[in-house]
Amino acid sequence: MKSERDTGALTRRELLKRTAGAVALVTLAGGAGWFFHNRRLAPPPRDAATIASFAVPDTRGMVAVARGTQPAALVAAALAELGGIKRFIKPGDRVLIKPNCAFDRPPHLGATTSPDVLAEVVRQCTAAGAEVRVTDNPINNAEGCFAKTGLRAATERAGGSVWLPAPGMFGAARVGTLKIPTWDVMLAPLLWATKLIGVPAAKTHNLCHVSLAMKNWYGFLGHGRARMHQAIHEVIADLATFITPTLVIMDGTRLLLRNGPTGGSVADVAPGNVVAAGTDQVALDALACTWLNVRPDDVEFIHLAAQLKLGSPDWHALPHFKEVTV
Amino acid sequence: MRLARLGLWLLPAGIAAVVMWRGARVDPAFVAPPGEAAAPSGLAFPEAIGAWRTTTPHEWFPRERIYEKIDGRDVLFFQYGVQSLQFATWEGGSSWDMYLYTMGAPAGARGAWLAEKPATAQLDDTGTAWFAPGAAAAYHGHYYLSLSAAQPDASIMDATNLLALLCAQLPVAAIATHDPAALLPRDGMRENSLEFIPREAFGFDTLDNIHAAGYSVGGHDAVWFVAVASDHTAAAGLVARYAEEFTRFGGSQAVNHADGFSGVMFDAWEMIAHTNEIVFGVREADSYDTLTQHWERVLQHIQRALRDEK
Repeated sequence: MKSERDTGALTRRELLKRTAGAVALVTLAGGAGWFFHNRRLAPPPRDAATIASFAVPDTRGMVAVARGTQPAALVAAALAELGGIKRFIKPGDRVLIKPNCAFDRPPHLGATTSPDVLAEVVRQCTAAGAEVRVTDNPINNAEGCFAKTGLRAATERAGGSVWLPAPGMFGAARVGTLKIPTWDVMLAPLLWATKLIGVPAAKTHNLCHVSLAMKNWYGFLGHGRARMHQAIHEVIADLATFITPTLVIMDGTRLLLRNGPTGGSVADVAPGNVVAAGTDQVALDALACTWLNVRPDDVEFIHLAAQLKLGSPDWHALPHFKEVTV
Repeated sequence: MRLARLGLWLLPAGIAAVVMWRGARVDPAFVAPPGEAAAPSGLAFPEAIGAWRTTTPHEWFPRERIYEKIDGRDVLFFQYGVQSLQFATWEGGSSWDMYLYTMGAPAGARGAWLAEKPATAQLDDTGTAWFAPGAAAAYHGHYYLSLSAAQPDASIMDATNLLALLCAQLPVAAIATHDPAALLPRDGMRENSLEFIPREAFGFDTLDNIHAAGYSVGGHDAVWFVAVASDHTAAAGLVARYAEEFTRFGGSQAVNHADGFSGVMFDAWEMIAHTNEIVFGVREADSYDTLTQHWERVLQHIQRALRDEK
């Protein structure tokens, strides 16, 4: 009779040795994968700052829409419908304003916030006794963007100052719950401010249909944000978790209807003659979708933000929704 | 046997060691932002041309990074075979941004130029440049040059002057023997109807790089189209494939002619033929009579164009 060894069958000792070898290999491979996975992509959560809400108490669920042809008058009228800027900004406040200054395009091409709209927001805040700084971390050269878009001149004309991004301003912050729990963000301005106002330009976007209030916070992100375009809807919802603004002033004075977010041709732009102000960024995004001929239902990040209870896409049902023609 | 076993253990251990070693020494070029990783290139322009000066260094974007400058609009340029984009701002009497696109072929440059032309734009005498409020553009060989003003009311004279000066800086490109768009006559062409269709024109898989425009003859409209194949055989093959596709997808009353073919699909008459390497056709005619009237005109024009060339 032949033994197991003689027949070539596996002995118990051999089986144990091979199993141990396989387990060691899998552990090594898994360990190496774990060690290198997402290495340095996001800072460790324990070092990340938390950005507090900038919302003013008892101002939830407010949206006011103003229609007309004079941008400054539209901003003033929309704010008046919300109770005036003094309801949100107090003397001594440090107000950070985040327009869309992402590209070095002249203002008439609609890729960035209207200088007239921004100037009026700055003017209203300074008139309320606040110190105002305007910032963005553009895709193109920041200084060139603020110059060519007319946003630097508009800010300074209205009594504010421009805060250009610099390496020392960035740091890790807790962002959201879906895709980016932490990220390198433009921390210094956010820690400086007591109030935050977003002034996005209403425009189309080739990846996520629209670029509006929630997408506008992309401009606070630091290095490597292009990677996030792979999960853009979740990232935008994360950004809406990250930032709870004091106010959003949605600039629809001219609308980039095609080839967004940069556009590049006057043929892509149409007059919108509308500005909306409010505290519910989900509602404002849903509303502004309709200006751009996009159905809010088709925009995934609006659904995600609503599921996270960051606001309501049903702007008509808000406790404070008003429309006015100037 | 023992050596083979040892090798089996050493191989994965070696791979793991290499992975760990490489992981600890990341290539900076791999993780650096794209703008820093790639050296700028593009055409060399002087700092000053006439009364115009560049105020910032030229930026250059290869096809894979072009989204950094024209995110959202890049899709349009991909259709026309964009290779790279060079950007600069020129200051003179006014301020203009220059977008110089290098396309894969002259047809792509013309296609992008046509696609960006606003309906209200005015053409210059050469038919290769257009001007609109705050914008101007020209094509030159396989370059498409677009100017965008800082102010929408910037002077058209400034645009004309700068566009001409910049075009003169572009290398003289080899122009195709037959300029397809020139084979479509300007006389009788419906305003703003000229278009370049890079792929699958009119829904036909076989029709690529087509120039088409609308015409009216005797009060009846139709579309004329033209393409230039590499040679007579390729042109004949294109017409044959068109006929095959036409029949396969429901075309009827198909008739073969000398070097051509006609038929009706969805109540619209169409005809296609070729002369040497030039493929031309008429489509969307509302009747056979309309088709033949248009066909006579397009045939006369093509024959005249070829005769003039000789």
